[in-house]
Amino acid sequence: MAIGISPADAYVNFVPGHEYVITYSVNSYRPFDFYTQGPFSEFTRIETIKHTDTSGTFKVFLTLPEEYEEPGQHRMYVAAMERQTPGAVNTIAAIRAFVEVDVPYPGYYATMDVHANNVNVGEPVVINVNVKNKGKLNITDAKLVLDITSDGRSVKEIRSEKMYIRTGDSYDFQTVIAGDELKPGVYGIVADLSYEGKSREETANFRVGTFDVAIVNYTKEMYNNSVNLFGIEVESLWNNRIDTVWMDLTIKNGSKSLSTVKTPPFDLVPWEKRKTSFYWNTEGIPVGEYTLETILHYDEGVKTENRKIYIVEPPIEEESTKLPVSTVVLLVIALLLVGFNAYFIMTHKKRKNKEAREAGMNASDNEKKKEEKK
Amino acid sequence: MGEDISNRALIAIVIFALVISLFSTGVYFLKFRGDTISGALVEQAVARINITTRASINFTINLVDWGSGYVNDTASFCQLNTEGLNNNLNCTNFSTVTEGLRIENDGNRNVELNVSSNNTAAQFLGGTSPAFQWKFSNNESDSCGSKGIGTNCVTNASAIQPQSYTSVSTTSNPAFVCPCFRANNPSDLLNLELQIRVPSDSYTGLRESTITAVATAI
Repeated sequence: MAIGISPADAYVNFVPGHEYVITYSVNSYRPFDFYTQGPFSEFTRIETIKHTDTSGTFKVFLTLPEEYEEPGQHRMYVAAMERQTPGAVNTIAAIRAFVEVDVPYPGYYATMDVHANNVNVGEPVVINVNVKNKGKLNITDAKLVLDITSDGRSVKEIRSEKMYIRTGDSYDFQTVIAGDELKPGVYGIVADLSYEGKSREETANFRVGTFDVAIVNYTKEMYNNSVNLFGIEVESLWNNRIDTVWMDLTIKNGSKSLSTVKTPPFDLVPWEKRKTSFYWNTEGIPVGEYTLETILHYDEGVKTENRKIYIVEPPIEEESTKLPVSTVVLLVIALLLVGFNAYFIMTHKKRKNKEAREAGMNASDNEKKKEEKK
Repeated sequence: MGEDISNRALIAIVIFALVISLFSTGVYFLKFRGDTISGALVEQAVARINITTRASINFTINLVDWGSGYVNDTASFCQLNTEGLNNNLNCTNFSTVTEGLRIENDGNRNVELNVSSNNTAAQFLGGTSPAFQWKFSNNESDSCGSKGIGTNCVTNASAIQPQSYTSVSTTSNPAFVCPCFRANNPSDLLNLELQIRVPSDSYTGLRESTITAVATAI
């Protein structure tokens, strides 16, 4: 039993006394009812264009009142529900679309969304700011200042023209930073909107990529003459996918190679951080400080980096002095069993002795009785 | 002879096909360079489509019927569910049901799902300690998730509730079953399993209950 309604959503601004008309189509396998419910439903009337057992077309007239006390977004539901039919455990399906009514705030009230896409070096950065006037009064002198920051320092400032935004309307501000203006890195945007003596601040980030993969972390210490779990984490600094990344890792003592491993290949999606782990046998490498040479291959790029790695003695296991909990528990159980057995044997022996003594006494009594009879 | 003719015909077809393909390749390259063969004007066309949002749900299985039967004299109740439970020691003649209700989101919009029953266990079955319970699960994995940003769903295996048999909720207080029921195939199907306990002193005759699923666009 299916029931569907279209459109599923509608968004309207609160304009006092204004009438919105939305046409809905409903499809159902069974006869159904069509109605509105929730906030603002009392301001609606429904005109049926067509209504059969399995489909319908309806016009919903939403005539907004002159005043509505609560500002913000309110959802009115436009619903269709199947009518009941008989059966042991039967079903009814109902579907609800919504009309979101955006009621303005008293006085001046603006909201703002800031967005910028990540790019690669040389590509222009497009920054979009959407300013919405959600207040009851028109905003006549809004100004926007965008501060582009890198490592907390301001690198560029962009100012908008004076903006006029009517109540319920929005203003889209777009600016482009040329591709040659920014070096690769992470940037912040601090958007400061000032309007009618008020202000609002929003932030966003974007990245400028370079065709590179960075090693962000790795295992710095391994035990000698052991098989160690070695991990190395890399991060793509490129705003496109990088195919076939792998590393040749060598522990070197000066220019002498002591041990080399090759990681399995993997791909990196834009800006992905990825950790790869594998086992590394350090047999024959004495304790000491060495160079870890990393030859990083990524797509058609390759780079070599040297870092420090320490081969250390494995910790001494103190098995003789410290018993694991499970061994202690086993020992206690064994002692209890021995104790129980000893107790059982002793009590059993005592009982046997007592029985023997009693049997002996009985025998001598009987003999005495026999002699008396004689 | 006949073989020769067919071979010749085949060669002719191949040559014809080669000529046609060379001709079309030439046309393609000329067009690619911006030249035109016919001299006709090249006009731009715009293909436009407006796909409207549609919220829709479908009970792909919409009826559970255990048929007719009774509780054995020796038993105090008979328990049945939609996962094949039919206690033969306690129940007589009831049908075994192996599939519960199935709800599919067949629209193009994620929805939140509330479900209610028009009857409690006492209203549906009556008698001493009756039970009318349900539980929900993903039939297709990840069909139900948590609500994400905007209209999106986020994977969350425990978002669907209740996952073990729980007394049904009534119309006045519907159960909030799934906060984000996905619209995308093949992750758009949920299970609704039912379980009842019929007491020996329950109502008799045909008993009916209605399960209502209300899906709201998010």
